[in-house]
Amino acid sequence: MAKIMIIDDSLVARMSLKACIPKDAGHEIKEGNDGSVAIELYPTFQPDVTFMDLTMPGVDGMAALAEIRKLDPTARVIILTADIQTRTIERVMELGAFGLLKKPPVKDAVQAELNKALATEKQ
Amino acid sequence: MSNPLRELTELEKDALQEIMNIGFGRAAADLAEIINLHVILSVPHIAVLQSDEVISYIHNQIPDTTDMSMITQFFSGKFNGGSFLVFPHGEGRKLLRIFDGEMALLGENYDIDVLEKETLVEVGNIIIGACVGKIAEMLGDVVTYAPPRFFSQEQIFETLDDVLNESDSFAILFKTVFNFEQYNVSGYLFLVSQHSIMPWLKQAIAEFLGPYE
Repeated sequence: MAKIMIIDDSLVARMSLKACIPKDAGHEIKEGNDGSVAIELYPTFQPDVTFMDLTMPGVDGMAALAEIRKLDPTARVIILTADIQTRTIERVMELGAFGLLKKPPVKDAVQAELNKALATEKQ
Repeated sequence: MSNPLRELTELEKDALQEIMNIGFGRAAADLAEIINLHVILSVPHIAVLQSDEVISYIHNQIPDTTDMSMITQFFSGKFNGGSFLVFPHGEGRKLLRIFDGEMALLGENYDIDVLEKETLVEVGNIIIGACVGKIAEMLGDVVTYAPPRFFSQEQIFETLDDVLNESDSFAILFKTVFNFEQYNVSGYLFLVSQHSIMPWLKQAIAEFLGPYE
């Protein structure tokens, strides 16, 4: 069982991502609709894995990713985004994202990335 | 009094907005390849307007309609209607500056108005294609497109009036923001359709949401 944080301003996007995470694994999931929620929730919830959208009103995913990595340099953040430009991918990887998945989420890809993150020792 | 068959619920609007953002992600990648700039496209606001509200909405949002321009592209399928990408005052010229380097290569043998029009048509075609195409694809439909057309300020309201005056029409408004690295260019995208498609649209969104609920 793992603790998973999902941050996306779209309720539908959060629903679609949650549907890709196996329910029988008993993961504890907390969600938020803004990067500021992620930054606020991270220290108390201490998620094993965070799924984060990039384009959000208020604090966007890039800024939240940078802040979370400052709070916890071992944080495993998987970016889930529709923005698939090379430069965007390079930027989030430079900021320390664990991985990047394209929207809409696909069950196999989400589970593979989640399993990979959970199997990776925090560094 | 509101009629649930003529309106979308908050969840349905959220689903459309998310679909649009996914479509915009593809459009951004396509545009970035063409102009070699990092592009951010987002849809911060979505609204469903009745046909008689569209013109006043544009006037409220864009008080100065000087130099406003619009790209129009009609599409047909189960999801059918017209898409109208409106660029407020000066936004078209801002887009044109992105191509400054290429324009310099053309020397003086070009007409700035023609180039602006061509640029807007090309950018509009990509954005509209990505949005409408993605909505159709994710809702299990396939659409065909008429060629995109450019309308200058003096033709815009007449064109919109013609389309909106068709009986039973409504508009889904997506306020769109385009950010081309240092250039902030914003625009408004309206998809105008008939209320007769609403049962299909609601059903298609329900099917899209089905696996997630």
